[in-house]
Amino acid sequence: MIRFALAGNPNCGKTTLFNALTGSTAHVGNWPGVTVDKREGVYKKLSEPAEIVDLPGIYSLSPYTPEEVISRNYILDEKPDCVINIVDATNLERNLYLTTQLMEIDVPLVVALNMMDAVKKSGDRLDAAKLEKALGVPVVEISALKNEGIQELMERAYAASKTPRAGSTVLAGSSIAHVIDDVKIALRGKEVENPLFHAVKLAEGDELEVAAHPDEMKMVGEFKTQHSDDIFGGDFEALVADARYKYISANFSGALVHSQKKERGALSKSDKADRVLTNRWAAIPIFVAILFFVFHLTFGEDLFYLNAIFGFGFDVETGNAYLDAFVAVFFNGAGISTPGAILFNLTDFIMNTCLGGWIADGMAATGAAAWAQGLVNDGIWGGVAGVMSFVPQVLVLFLFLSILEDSGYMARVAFILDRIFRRFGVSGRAFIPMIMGFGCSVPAVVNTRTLADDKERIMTTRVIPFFTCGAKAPILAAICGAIAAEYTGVSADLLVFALYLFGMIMAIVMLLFMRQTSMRGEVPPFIMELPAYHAPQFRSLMIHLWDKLKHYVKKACTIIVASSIVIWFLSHFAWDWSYLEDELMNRSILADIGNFLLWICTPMGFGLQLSEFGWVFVVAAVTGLIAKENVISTFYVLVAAIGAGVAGGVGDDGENGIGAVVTLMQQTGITWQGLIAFCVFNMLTVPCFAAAAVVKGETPKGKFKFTLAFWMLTSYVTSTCIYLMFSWPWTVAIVVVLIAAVIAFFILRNKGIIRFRRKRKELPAAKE
Amino acid sequence: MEKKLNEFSVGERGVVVRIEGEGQVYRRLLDMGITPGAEIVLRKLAPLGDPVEVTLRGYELTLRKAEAASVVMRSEGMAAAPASSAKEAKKAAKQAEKAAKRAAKQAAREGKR
Repeated sequence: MIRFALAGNPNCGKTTLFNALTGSTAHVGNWPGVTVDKREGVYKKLSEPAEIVDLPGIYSLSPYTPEEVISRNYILDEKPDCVINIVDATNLERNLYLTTQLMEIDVPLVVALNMMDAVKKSGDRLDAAKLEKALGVPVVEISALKNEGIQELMERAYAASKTPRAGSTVLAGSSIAHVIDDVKIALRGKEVENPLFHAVKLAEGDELEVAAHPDEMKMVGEFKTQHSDDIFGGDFEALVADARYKYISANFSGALVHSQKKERGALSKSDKADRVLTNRWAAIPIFVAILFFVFHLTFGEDLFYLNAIFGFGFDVETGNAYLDAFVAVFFNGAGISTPGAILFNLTDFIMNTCLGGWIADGMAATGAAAWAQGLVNDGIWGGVAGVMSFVPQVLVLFLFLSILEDSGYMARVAFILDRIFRRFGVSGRAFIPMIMGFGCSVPAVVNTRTLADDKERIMTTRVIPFFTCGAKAPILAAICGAIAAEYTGVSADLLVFALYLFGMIMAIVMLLFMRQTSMRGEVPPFIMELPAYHAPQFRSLMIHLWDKLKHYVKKACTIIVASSIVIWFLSHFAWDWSYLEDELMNRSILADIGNFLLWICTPMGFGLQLSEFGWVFVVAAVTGLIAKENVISTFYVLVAAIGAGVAGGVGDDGENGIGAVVTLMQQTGITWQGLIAFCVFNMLTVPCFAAAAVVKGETPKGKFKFTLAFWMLTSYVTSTCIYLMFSWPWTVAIVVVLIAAVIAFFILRNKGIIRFRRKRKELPAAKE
Repeated sequence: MEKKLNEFSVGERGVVVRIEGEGQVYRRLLDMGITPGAEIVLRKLAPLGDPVEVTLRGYELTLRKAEAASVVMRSEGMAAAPASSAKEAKKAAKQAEKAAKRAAKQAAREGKR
């Protein structure tokens, strides 16, 4: 199979093209030896199928950021049959800068001028034929979004892949053309592949190349001593970059003819949106409001607090249990449901009230053995349904996050917040993966690859799990809902919001802490493109959501089912492998294991102080290490048994997550302080297997054990403090004194013993 | 007059003379198109006054003042006319646009009939 690689600037529409090319066959694949997931897919409309590889978006082939090195090594080492360079036609000059570098590699190259529809719409004209002549490689106009010109592009790429191409450079007219030529000949004599590319990189003084070709570097060094230039002196790196841009302006920019109507200073729609969204005064309040509404629309029970304001709380009674339950999906005593709550209620209604009930009835009708009924109803269905009923709500959250990402707002968030985040030791860019962490830690951690600084990357991957992900959301929703149900005057969604906020504050506190201890150093630079806003594409949003949905269903059908079955077995069998009725669960293997570990959790409020079923929380926390959804599915499986075991049990088969927790509260006597500490522990501790594995992959060798220790210590200490402070208010004094002592230590150290330029006011402000 | 990019005020236009520094930041600035001769307009400041937003080579870039300090510029004065007259002009343009849209809509409606 022939292989085409897609290369181009970030945000030039590569992935859109990739999806257009590969359709539904797109999948994420890991490549051996490289710790990244380049996407690969197959294009089938040529005379032979072509494998398409989507490389990370890059601005240059410099040796500084991991993505650039990955793309560069892929093209040099894996030798694709053709490189398709996607160029954003609305931003020609900067995009062609990468093209001039790709041209130097001995690989067939085709330039795809993307976003031609936008260019035409603005009234500009772009002469592809002229550009093709100037570049010397095929140029095809396409619009990946509108699916235009794609077949032509692929046919030209196919034709180009059949003839080898020698690299060409735009530096031939520059003052260092001579040395590049000499080095190229020397390299070719040594049978080095891509001699031109390496020669140019050597001239630039590229770190990776200098180490690989010391002899040729001497040639460059000699030339440098003789060379003199008014502007650059001996700085060839700048000279080369400048020569590229000069060549582009002189030879290629002529292909673009601006329309008359585009005057200086005329405002585009994007500029107008930007005026408001990054307004000096309004930007930060707008950002906070957007975040709040995203969470409100996803988790809120009372749409826009209409019920709280106008108070029309009443229940609709129809006389039919099913119909009542159905009405409650949209409206109940708490008010009109938000979109997220409607979806949650709806799936909960389908999964538990309808399907779950039918399965239980069906099993009872067949007269299966009690243990088989239990296994199917509680072990398999209970766990899966518990997780699946939260999926639509999580998808709503994903939808909002995707809209923010697609529209270009995320980049502005980095711009707005950079100043604040710099105080915490990271750049505003690091905030984008952190926000993505609200969806899922796995892609968020992968996204940290765009951060250039190693320390910044490690710190960011460590705190990403503190941004409560979609799988942890159900834990918060269930526990806060239960607290709200048991104690009057507590608003569930405000409590959820507070916990989300607490996670973010912890992330900031820990960033500061790391900057003071293991990760000392300068704040990394912040140079970022701000892409033009555009309306999110419905299709790409749907693709995104579909991927997520598949991911969840797959997870529910594999890990969650397996864990649920294991939990069910362990909780219904004693050490002598005899089956235990639900009522006798306290004698099970699981109970013994849980009880054995109980003392560890005592300081956090869900340990020895609980009565008989206290071990359930320990077990849930441990299974949560596999996948956070397991916390809720464990509750489901076990509460079903507890409910049956208690005479006149309340939430018999745990109608939903909230009911399950309410049952647990009544049975174990756990306090709300303990529940909050339990939430916090799950939020801050080691994330699921998948996320931990990705973090390990993204962390330099040998550092991951520190990351693990960091997660465990942070979660344990923090939830202990939370439990103590809420249960016995006088302990606040001790905790405050301890924190103050730590801060004082840092301040004294920074001021006195080691000279370090750091404002000492920073710490206390954030520690609260 | 030579002036550093971080000393520019909002709306000021200039041409890059040279870039100081080395290493990764330096290279990134070059890669993003900040090379001698490039024209840059300072568009705005972030809410807390620090990262700045500039337009160059037809796109928007944000960088911190610390990084902007390594870019030596030759100022060419303000890019656009001062706010007051520009605003008025824009208002007029907007009204004209609205009127045109209304007319177009009406035409379309009539066409449908």
